[in-house]
Amino acid sequence: MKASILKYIFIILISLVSVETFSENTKPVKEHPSSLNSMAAQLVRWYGRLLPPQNNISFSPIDKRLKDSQKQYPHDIEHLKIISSKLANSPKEGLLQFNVTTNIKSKSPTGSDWMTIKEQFLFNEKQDGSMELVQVILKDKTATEEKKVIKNTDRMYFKSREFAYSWLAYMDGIDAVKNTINLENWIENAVYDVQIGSKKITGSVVSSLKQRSVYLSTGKHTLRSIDITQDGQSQNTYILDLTMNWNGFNAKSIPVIAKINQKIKIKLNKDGTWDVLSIKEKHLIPDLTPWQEFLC
Amino acid sequence: MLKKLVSYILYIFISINVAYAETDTLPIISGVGGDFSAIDSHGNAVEFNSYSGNVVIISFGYTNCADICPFTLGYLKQLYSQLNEEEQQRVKFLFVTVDPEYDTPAHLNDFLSYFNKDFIGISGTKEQTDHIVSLYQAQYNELSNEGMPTHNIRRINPKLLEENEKEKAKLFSHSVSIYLVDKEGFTRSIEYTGTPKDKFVKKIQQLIKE
Repeated sequence: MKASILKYIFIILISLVSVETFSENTKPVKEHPSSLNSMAAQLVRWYGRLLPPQNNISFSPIDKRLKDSQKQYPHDIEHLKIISSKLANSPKEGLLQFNVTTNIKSKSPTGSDWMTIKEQFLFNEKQDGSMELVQVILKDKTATEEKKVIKNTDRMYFKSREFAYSWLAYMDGIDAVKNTINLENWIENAVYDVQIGSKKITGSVVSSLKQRSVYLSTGKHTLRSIDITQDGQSQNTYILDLTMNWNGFNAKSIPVIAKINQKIKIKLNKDGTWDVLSIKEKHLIPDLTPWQEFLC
Repeated sequence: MLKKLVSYILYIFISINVAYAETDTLPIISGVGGDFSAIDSHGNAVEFNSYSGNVVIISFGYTNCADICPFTLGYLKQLYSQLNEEEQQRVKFLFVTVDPEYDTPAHLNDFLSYFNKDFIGISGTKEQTDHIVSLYQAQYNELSNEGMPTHNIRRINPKLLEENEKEKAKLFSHSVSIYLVDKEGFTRSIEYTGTPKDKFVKKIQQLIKE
């Protein structure tokens, strides 16, 4: 009798464990609390400021509380490359942390010096969903051997990325970034064409975003690649070629995945602000399976 | 009494497990697919949205394809046979030719009947074909400028020709993907002949039930 009771209890416990395991496996992945893009935009802005002046390219001033953190870098930086950046949970309550490693080349009396710097960027999520950079902590700074200089990682490299990440953050629903991209200046005037399969949307940025939101309602954009080239017609006009993934839900709450290419015609003003002239968006086939490229 | 109680509890837990084990909702793959006009293998002008309300499975190929196309259609035939009669009524299998010049509706119909009389061939003008290929972001390429004498091609069914009439046909490479499209015309999955059939069938059944 006792053995039977124990047997039945054992069966019940095994069943409990298996249900727990299944429910664990099907729990939704924990969402990032806010758009990563708003954090990435601040990172590239931080580093872009360190580079030598270039044409009209300027960045908004940094918070006074963080000015001292900019003193940790060498003077006369010639080249800067982010070689790794990882989002991590901060040991400080309620903060998110980016661990970033950079290689920096600077002028020195003997020619050039190379250095590898490891830092932590701590972000706090604000009420409006944007992320505020609150602290930059230097973890390590060491002289290093000469590295290969990658061309075009200049101020424009970081300025274009600041725009791209801010634009993606805006599309993710973070309204607070609109000053960074000078949105009010062009949101009604720029033409935004979207092609989703056989569906075509055209209109101002305001109206196209609204129509687009039927298909891509709530979700996040993740930048995959960015390229900036000068537009042949004008010196201060560029074509920003962005490819991004999107993951989320449509207006009927059905999950949607997308790989999106945007070609943004963009003008850099003398005061360092951007004006978007046009956006052409096309949804590409996402990289889902190895066989989708196979031809027989 | 205790035995009964445990049996009931066990049954409930197993049911919960089965419920959790069911596949998640297939996401819409944005930008893949859309509306198109074509000629089907019965010679009728069709719009893709006329298949609305049905789950649609789309593959690309041509009748002079010696290997992958018969293999794919054989695979699709097996998928079809794993559906029950009611499910078969709710699914359309479309085979889009990349050689509409050679694959007339009648010849396409004859070809497909070797696999399943319910399979639908999609032909039309070259522009219509190119449009469908671009909607699904598939590819096809002509393999040579010169055509191949068709008597040299190993194929399912020759075209009916006049006595002593000789003909040539082009050879193509083309995408092998099989597109699973829901009742509203959205692509929900991209498979191929290596997808386990039972897994593919489950996805079809899931979309039928949606």
